[in-house]
Amino acid sequence: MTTDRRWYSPGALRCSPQLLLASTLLLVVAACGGAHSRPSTPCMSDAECRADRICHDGKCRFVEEVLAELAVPPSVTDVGPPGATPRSANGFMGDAAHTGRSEFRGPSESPSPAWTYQTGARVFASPVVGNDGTVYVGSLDGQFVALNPDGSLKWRYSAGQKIYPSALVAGASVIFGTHQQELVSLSLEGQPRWKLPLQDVVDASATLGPDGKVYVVANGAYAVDLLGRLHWHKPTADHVRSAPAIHPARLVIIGTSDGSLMALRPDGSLAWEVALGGAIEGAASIDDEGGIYTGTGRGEIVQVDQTGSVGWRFKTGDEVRATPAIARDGTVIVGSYDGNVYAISPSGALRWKVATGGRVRASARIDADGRIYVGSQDNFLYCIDANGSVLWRYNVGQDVDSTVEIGSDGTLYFGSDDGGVHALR
Amino acid sequence: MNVCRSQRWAAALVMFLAGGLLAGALGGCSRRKQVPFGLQDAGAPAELEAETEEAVAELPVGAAFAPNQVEVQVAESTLVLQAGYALAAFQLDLDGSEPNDALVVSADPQEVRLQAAYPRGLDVTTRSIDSFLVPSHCTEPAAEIRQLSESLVGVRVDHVCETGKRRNFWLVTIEAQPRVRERITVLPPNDRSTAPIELELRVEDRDADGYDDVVANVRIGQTEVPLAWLNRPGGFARDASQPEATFRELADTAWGSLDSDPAGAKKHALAVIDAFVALCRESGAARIGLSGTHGLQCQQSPATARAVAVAITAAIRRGSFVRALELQRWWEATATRPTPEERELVQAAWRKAKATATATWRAVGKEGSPVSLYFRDPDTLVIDGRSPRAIQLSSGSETRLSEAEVMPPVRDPEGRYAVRSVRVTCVGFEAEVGPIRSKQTHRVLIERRSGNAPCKTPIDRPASVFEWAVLGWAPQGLVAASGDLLRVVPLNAFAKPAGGPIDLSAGSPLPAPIRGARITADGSRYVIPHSEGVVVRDWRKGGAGLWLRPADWNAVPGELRSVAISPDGRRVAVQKGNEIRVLTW
Repeated sequence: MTTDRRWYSPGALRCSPQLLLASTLLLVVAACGGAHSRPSTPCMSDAECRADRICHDGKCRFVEEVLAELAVPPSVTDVGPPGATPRSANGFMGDAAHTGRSEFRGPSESPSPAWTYQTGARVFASPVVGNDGTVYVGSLDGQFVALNPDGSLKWRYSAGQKIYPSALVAGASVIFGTHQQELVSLSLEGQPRWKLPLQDVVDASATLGPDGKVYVVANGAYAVDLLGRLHWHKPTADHVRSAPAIHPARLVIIGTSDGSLMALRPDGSLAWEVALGGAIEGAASIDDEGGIYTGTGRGEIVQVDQTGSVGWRFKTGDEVRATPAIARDGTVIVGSYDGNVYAISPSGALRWKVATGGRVRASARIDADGRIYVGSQDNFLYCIDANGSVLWRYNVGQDVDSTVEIGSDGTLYFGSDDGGVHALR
Repeated sequence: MNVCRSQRWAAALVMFLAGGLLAGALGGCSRRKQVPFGLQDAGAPAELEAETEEAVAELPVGAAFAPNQVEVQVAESTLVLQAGYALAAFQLDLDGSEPNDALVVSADPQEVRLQAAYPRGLDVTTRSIDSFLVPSHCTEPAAEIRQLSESLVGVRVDHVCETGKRRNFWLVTIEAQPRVRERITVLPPNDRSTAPIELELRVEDRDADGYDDVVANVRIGQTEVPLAWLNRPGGFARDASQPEATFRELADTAWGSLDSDPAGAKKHALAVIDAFVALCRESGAARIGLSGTHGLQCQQSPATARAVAVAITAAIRRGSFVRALELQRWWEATATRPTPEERELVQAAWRKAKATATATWRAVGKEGSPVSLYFRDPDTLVIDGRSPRAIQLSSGSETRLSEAEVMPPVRDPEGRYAVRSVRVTCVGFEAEVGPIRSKQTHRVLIERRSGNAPCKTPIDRPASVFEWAVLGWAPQGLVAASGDLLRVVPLNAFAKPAGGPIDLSAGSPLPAPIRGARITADGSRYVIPHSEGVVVRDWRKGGAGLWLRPADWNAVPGELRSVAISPDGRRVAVQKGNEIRVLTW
């Protein structure tokens, strides 16, 4: 570095005309070579950038470069515990198919509270853990918080309106919808990247597709890129509360409040639609073979194939608003308002059920060992093994409607109706 | 209100709708049909529709013209306008002889004229009835003429102005030489009066003397005030009991429910205040004009004084001291006179509020010019003035600071940008933001200038300490406050606006962490200056205020120039006049 400074110092140039000539030549060569490397120019807005470049992080950049960068976690190689593979997106139910599976191991024995962060209203969303261990979650009091792994506040964002959905942590962006009728993208430091006004409130989490687009629902489905540019909006007759699930056949699966399950192509056109009867309030999930599962307001779990044909229906005793989780052996795990957590085989037969003392609104999560974690409105968080035995239950003291997130160290994160964000380990 | 009083109403009952809404079911008390005025295109309530259509047929409406029409047909003759173009014309018999005459409204960019036109053979003679000038920023005039009764015609003229819609109504007699009985003007919103105003005119025999009286129902927000003009031999005389009677009714309701229903009391009190501002000349911002005068004479309005007393008390009780003080100034500014009982109510509320915190202060320095104050830590106050220095409050020791050691207190989380000042411009209140290491700045809008009044002279001055201020900078953006209002102005990583401002209701979560001089990092406490003291708001307690005013506040001469709160929220530093003092409580 010292050499560089001396090289460019006016004194050095005065003393050495040869150096001046050499540096001029070097600049010319660099300029010729720069046609390929496209050096970034400083900017404050897109208007300052030529043609097809945009101003991003103070530099004029090509959109494709920025999108690729936003989709990849920053310094992927030096974060996360040994052996853990950082994902490009962390969000509701762990992945874009909503299987609920986690690569981490949760506690097999009754855990202890590590910390609680108190918000001012019910925490319905599932906390989402970023690759650096930061916990992101919104509350119905309008705050969205980033918490350090020790539970201390890293930053807080005020949305001004309720936040129901879980966050989507996609690369260097944290994305969530609010009842302010907008989709918000923040940097990992809490600074706004962009806000996209939508035509309705957002109740469900956004999902990152393999095409790099963010899919979100409100009065229909929206496809947005990581720069906040709207690609399409597919309106629906009714409000949509089910987070989009991404099917391997390049389909975006959403369910509507009037009971329709819809599959949209990546361009927003309708591939198929099937009326299931009963409002679809939870998201659909997709198994490894492409089977689609969703619950309905009529209390059914319905299996649909990728062409929209209904395979089987499993009847529970009351509404199903949770998103079915899919175990590694294909077992479908889902709670019902009848108070039971059901395990259903891929063929639609009951494997087991566990009764809780309250309605089950939260979706289940499955850890690396197949243990199931699910909250109930009986104030308890349950841990159930793959055979349906309750390993432990933890009294939260409040309804647990928030889906559990499993941290890389096995810590369980979830919200409760008293506004608490809890960490158990 | 008080629409139906007598079965002797023999004249027409006509609804003269100004706001584009047909309201009020009036027909049941009247022997005459009601005729809606000014709303041919708007939807009438279903039960009135049939009656309305019949009445419209009974009492005719004039023709409206497209722009630039200069010829008006009057009976078999044609009137060619010498200036401007016709907006509307109404054929009727004015002089009692055939053929029909006409009332014609015409306009040019400067003026609107009302004239009577009489056919004389193939010619048409005209007689000017009235005219008014139009502000240069008002365009797109439109007019409608509608007969209200056998003896009265209503003329409505609308303009679209930069500041909103401006409406004029003429009440014109039907006689050989028509006269204007009243011209009512409804002005668009201004800085101090933003409530929507609707005006509904009707004709009724209000005092049961057999002659048509005129009632103008003025709706300001949710408050309806019936203004009446009584038809007397000497001309129309305005019934002076209004608007005070309506104000009194609302103010008494507010007064009576202050303890049992504070929210309702506040609502009623504010309704009176809004109506007073919009209607009364004494407010200085009236939006109703009568025959060229500005506002009604409300004089000392005891009812408004009472409503203000209720609003002040409600504000004090919920800790909104700045608002309370603003309202208290109202009493003096508008010459409304509270009774001793009302004054005592307010004083009692203040005594109770002040009892919650006894503030003391001590001088820590002097500085003749305005300084920027901020706490480096709970015990170190930085005075950034001509000679920057840091004062250790516990020991009183003072350390000179180099320029490099003084940082702008309101800066972004990465320390790249800082807020230099808040400016008042034609756009509104703007934060001047720029890189810390550069003189380059850009403006970020905090609050758009209200009222939309044209800004003819460029404004660009620093905001005073009592106006909008940036308390601090959170990752989400700027946290700004004015009085009791608290707002987040979202900014991206380059200090550029990222979405519209978000107003925070009391107690709702603030963004964090916040870096600034007037707010703690977690946003739990911040300080609002006022000429009568300072208010520390505790956001964790729903925004409850702590009113801090040392007993010898007035002994230190000069205005507040700068304030800062310590990071632990337990000390407030102020520059009042030339003295720098630290308050504790």
